[in-house]
Amino acid sequence: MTNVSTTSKHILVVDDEPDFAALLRSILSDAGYTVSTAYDCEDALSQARTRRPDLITLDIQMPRRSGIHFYHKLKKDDRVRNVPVVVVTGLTRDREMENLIHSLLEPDKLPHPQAYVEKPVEAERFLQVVEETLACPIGQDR
Amino acid sequence: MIAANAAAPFLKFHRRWRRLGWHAVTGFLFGYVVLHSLSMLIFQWLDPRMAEAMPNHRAAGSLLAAAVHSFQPDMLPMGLVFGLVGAAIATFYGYHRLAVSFQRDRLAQELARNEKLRGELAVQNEELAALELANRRTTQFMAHDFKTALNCVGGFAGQLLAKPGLRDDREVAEALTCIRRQAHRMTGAVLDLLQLARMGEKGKPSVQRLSVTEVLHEAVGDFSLPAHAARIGLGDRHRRCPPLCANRDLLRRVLCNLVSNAIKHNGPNTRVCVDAEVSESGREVLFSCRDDGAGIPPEVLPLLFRKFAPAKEFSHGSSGLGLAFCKAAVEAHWGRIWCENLPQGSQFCFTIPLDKEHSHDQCIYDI
Repeated sequence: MTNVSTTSKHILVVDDEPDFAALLRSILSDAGYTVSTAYDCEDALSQARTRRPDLITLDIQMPRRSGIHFYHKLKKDDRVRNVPVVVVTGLTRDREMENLIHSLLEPDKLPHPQAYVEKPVEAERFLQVVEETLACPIGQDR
Repeated sequence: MIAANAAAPFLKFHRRWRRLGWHAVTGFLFGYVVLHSLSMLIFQWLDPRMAEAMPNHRAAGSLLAAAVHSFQPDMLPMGLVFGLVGAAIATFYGYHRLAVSFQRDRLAQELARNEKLRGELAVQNEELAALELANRRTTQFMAHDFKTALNCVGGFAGQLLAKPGLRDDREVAEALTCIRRQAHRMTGAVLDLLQLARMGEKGKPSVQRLSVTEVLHEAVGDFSLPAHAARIGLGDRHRRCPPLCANRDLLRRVLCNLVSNAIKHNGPNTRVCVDAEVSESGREVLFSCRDDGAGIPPEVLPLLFRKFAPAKEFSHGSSGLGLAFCKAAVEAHWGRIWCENLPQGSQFCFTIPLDKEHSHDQCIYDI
């Protein structure tokens, strides 16, 4: 799973649940990525601006809609708007997801997140999504 | 004011009986004066000699003369007879009206009580609906939390199992495998609960056009299956199935539950084969999950799809939700689900209609 191109990549895991963030960190670290974690919107924004990660995994359902706020602020900031985002969510891919997308994107016509991973997260599937997302920078058709 | 209100029914009752008395008096007078006089007129017409017997026989033949004559002392007994007949008729009529009025009052009271009860019932229904909604929401929140927690437990167990130092220690590896398996099993149960709560809230699932082959592959490769693809196979009839409209997550969970169920109840060496084909009628896709295990005791068959009601000796620690979930999910797609014993093992089947009116019109495509 790990190869030379992925080892130098930096991934920011944003999740309010420390244990779940630790799990994602463990999966990504074992695959050779450099991982940092943030448990709230402000810390995540600060880390994204200072370290400019290659990819962000975002729990969109953080308390007080902070996941959605983070996404809005990220996509409005010219310095980090091109960082791909993989949304990790407990929502299913039907109406709930539609509502989420609507609340995420419609108000400001923001671009879609690059990928979605549904909880429960399976290591293999998760890494595959991360690799595919990293292999396809923003602006390129997948 | 309260005393007046309390006395009102009694006064009303008293007034009604008094009215009955007036009916009797009026009836007596009507009988004595009118009926008696009319009877005399009729008798005069039948026998003119009677008119001549009257003191004022020149006026004979008029109602007035007959009425005056009826008050003569010798006519008193006959007048009393007519008066009593009139009183009896009027009393009977008054009593009938009285009974009707009492009945009307009773009905009005019943109606008022029914109205009150209906109001209370409506309030209780609203409270019940609110409670049910709160219950579903709570279930959803709890299931969501459990899902994340169990994902951590199972995920970390998997991560540790991947470390060579730990994997090589047999005892540690067995414990970690057990932790991961149980976490996956519980995750499956939690997902069932979550989907059941969602179905209860939304009524019907949103559907999308699906490739049957893709869904079958996703299901047999699902991480939550205990024997993870070791002895789970796919048939070859599914390739001829046309796409159908269904909810991908629900269909995958149904198939996973059936496969997991087969392995759980028959042991890890059971061979399970999942397949799908278009039914003979050509109007539905028939999914099947066949195993080569010991089959299902006949007395358990009718209980299989009931929520929390698997036979105790047959449940093998199951939550009792899996097959109930399958039934709810299949029926939400207007399908049917059943189970049958084979000469060797058993087979669970379910159908999803290809029918346009039930599926294509309502397709909601993935984003």
